Amino acid sequence: MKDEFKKENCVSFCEVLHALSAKSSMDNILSEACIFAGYNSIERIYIGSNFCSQYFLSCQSETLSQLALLCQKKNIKITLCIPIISEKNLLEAKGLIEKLYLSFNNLIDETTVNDYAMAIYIARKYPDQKINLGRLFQKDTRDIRYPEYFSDKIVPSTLAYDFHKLVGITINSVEFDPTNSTIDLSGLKCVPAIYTPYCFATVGNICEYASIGKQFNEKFRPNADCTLNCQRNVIRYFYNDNTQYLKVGRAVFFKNLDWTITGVGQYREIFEPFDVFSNMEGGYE
Amino acid sequence: MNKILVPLNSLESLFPLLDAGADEFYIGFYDDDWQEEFGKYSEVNRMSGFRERANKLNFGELLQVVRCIKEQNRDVFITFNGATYSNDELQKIENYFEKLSESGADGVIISVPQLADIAIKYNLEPVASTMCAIYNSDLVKFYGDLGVKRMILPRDLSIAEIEHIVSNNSQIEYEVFLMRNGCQFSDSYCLGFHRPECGSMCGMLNHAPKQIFSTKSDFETQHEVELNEMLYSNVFHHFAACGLCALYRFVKMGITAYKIVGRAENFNGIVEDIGLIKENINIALKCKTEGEFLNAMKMIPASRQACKLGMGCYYPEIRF
Repeated sequence: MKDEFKKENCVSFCEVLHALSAKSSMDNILSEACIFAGYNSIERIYIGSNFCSQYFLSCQSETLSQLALLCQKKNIKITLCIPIISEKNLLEAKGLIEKLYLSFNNLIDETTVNDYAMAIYIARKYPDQKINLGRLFQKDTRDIRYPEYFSDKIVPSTLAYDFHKLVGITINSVEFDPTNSTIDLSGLKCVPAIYTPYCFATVGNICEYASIGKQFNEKFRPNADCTLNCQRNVIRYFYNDNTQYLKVGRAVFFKNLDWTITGVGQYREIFEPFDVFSNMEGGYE
Repeated sequence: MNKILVPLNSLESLFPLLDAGADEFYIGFYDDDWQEEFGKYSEVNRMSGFRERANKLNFGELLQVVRCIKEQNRDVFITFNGATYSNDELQKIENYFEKLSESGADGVIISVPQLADIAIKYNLEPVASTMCAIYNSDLVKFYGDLGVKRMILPRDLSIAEIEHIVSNNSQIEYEVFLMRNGCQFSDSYCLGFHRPECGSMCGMLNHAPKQIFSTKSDFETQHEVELNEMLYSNVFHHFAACGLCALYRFVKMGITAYKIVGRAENFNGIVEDIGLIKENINIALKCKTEGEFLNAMKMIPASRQACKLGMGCYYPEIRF
């Protein structure tokens, strides 16, 4: 049913770019992502982070420059995703945003924000940037443990909010998670983007992975500086035979392969290659 | 400044809580009409899934309790901190606001910016809930521009970040979390149900069978990763959370109110917490240095277990 729509194929390298680049070249990563996602080609990639200030600040490596060159060569557009930046990193993050826009020339043609204040900041400081509302704006409950609720059709309450009235800016796209079996987007005035195959369930400012290797009395601190252990470790949780959760960085996700959208004629699909972690060494149970 | 904000679940609790030293109250409610209109999974506030177990008052009873609190010249705030609301739900909430305003309620604790305007329209003070995820100074400004003058900061901010936000935006009144339930995730973005059928997301994850995948398989790495996971799932915030050691800093910052969470918690525990906070605020006000305060302050009764390694602390960096 999803294929009946006009679809733009996108891949998100948010949260996992360093993990991917440690395994292979950027060219291979793009090709593998296409195969995993079942795409013939990729029209857009997403970089940055939707969930973590620390990961976002790490997005200034040689890897990113290589990726930019490749995108230029293959005519792939880039969306920069910005998480909610915790207070101690706010200035530094704004500096990095400026640096990324400059160093990527015009390749970054749109920015996904995840909070109202950043939406206003980007719109005022970079008026040429198109603004997307990120997945953290969609706060509808999602819980696969409740089959009755999960199998029901949901009308995201994000649709109820007049963002133009609230923040005074025009929205380019609104991003959604596959929270339920069917998502009714009737009435949406811009192109929706749907993440797949994982639905984000919970996130916080305290990162379990950031504490690996730290002294006992320094573990589990909010927004602690880290060495990106999230790129080397992942935890899979088994709720029952059919339901698994995956903790990627600070966020926990569940898989939903069978979502459907209604009420729109076209959409973006944003594939998240989290299954790259699945061939890591496994052990503890 | 230095007020103690406590949950109230019944009229019978009002006077014991006042005697214990409560300065302000927040109350949630349940409404069968809401559930009938929007379905059993719709939440008027964060604890709606627990129905009367968490919010013992229906809306009619709530209005009576509000009037009684106002007779005692205390402030009372009503929680509307569901993760999100549809247009129809916002309309229904406006109807509640109208009646709350008539009853004399001081304000409403809101989770979405759309409710700020509506609250102000009915002369209710909008208080930005922790559900608003005010993690930085720019977000303080955003809500401030909507007319929100009081904000509850997330419990997953460090003391240094709280100090920075408060000093950058000193015209705002702030509430911080101080006692009882700690949280591994963000209040605002923990989007699984909090209902009795399956429990919280963090509880489920902590107890679920799991596999850890790592890029390295040597003993030392695996030991570090697995030990870290054991501590995170079994020790971190395993006991009731506490932030008493941070009181000296909060008093110096000029924090407006200290929030005791736990609408469904046991009443005697909340009374004990109020006494401890009150006593420690007084100690903090007399102390000249933080070191002096940390030596003189009163600890929680479960301190010998809960205080180990800072794993039960809201603000572990004070001592660890």
